[in-house]
Amino acid sequence: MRLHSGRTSWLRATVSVFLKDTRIEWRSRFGINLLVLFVLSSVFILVFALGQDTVERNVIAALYWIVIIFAATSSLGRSFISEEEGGTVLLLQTHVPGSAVFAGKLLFNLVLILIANVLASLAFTVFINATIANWPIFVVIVVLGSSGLAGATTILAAIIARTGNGGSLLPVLLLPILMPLLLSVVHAMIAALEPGSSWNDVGNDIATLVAYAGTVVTASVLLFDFVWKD
Amino acid sequence: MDKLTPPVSGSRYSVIRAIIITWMTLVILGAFLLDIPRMNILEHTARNLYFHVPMWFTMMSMVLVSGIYSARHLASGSRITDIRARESARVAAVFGVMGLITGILWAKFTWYSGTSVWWNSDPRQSMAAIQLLIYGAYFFLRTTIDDNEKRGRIAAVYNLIAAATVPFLLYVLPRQMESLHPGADGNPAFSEITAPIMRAVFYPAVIGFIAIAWLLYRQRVRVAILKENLTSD
Amino acid sequence: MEQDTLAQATAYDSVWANTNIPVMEPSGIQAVMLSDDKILVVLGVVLIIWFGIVFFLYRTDRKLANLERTVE
Repeated sequence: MRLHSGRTSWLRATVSVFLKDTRIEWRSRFGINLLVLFVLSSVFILVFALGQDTVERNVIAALYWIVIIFAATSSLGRSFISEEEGGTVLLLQTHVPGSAVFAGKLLFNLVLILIANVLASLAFTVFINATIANWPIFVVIVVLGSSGLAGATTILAAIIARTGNGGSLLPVLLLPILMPLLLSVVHAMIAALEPGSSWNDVGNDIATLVAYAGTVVTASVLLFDFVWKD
Repeated sequence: MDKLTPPVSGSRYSVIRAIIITWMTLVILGAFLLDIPRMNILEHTARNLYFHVPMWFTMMSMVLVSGIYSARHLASGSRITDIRARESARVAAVFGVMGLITGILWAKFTWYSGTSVWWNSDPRQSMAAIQLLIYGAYFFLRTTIDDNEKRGRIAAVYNLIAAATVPFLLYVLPRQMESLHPGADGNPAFSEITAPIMRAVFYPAVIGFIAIAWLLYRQRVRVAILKENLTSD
Repeated sequence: MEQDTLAQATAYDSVWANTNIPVMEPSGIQAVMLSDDKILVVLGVVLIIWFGIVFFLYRTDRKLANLERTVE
């Protein structure tokens, strides 16, 4: 019972899932508000916890990505639970190919994580006095890191939507899987904060991040139907 | 529901079991009785090579078995493959815990003797710990789903996603952490520090421990099949 | 500055020349574990593995006992 077939209509289905989520988000602004408040309050906790001493670059890099990862677990975990609660699962299952649902959700989650990154980088600059010395490196690792994070979060959000007790499960499942991403993204982030760093310093990390995002997204697309279909 | 058939448990199995037990007894005797070249810091603890290192090999082979059965479960949907994936993960977790604890004990009285270090974020140690966290999450995930068929499917997906990400650690961790293990940067390779006599015990020990893990795993599978058959009527 | 450190180094050198650096004698459990060429560490490792396997067997046994109760 697929209405769409062929590549163009797969793209159209993906975009329509993405637009549907965006429109729902635009109406309630629940996810965005949650994200803004989460990032701001966790940055303020850091401000008070760190005190007024200058913070080392490696600490800033680690804290930055911890904030991003927890912002993702707290606000993206709902992406499939909301379909389950709204009773729209069956509708999507019958009308849209599974991979298009996954791709649409992935896009939407990626946009949310990128927004969280913009917010967090502003908040870190203003409140923790972190200086991003190398903007090109920073932008590249944020985009790559966010893609891997979005891939892992989206498939796990689909998994937890099928379990008994929803969102609380996500961090437990997500964090061990994110370890390779966290290690390389923090390593690259230290280089981005360091004046005078070059692309050579982050070559390995960028390769790892690309491979990680590619692997996770490919595995998720291949496995998504087993989670999505009954 | 139709009955699951347990793995054949005839005279061939008892012969294999007897061979494994004899084999392992010989390995333990060899591990303690054969003379080894003396090394500083290590002294007799070099013999831990026969016991601590095979834990890692055994865990990884059971992880592999678990991943394969998870994939086969998604392909076929049969209950037995889910049971096998679950039980091999359990055995892998037990051997992972034993590897971690023995490693901590070993390092504590050699390299970290007189210091307060227990955990040093060694790449291999970290990787084993992450694998254990993943299995913790895997078994926790299983408890949250009531429907048998759905539980097997979702858990298999999680196991495979985890299996796709863990190999990255092999590449990432050694670049960012110091290691005590041979072969890591600066450290001598395994073959340089290991006398031939030690290798003659080490390889049989690896085989022996994997065989023991197989025995434990097979027992669990038989129990699980029995339970399925009894409770599904 | 450099000469200061050098002067200090020679001074310390003569003081420490005939001393082993970790002077703290191992005590308690340390002393026990480090005796006899550390063979007891190997014993500890073997015991951990032994108890790990026994623990696993015990768990399997309990599962079997539960099943036996269901059969009856």
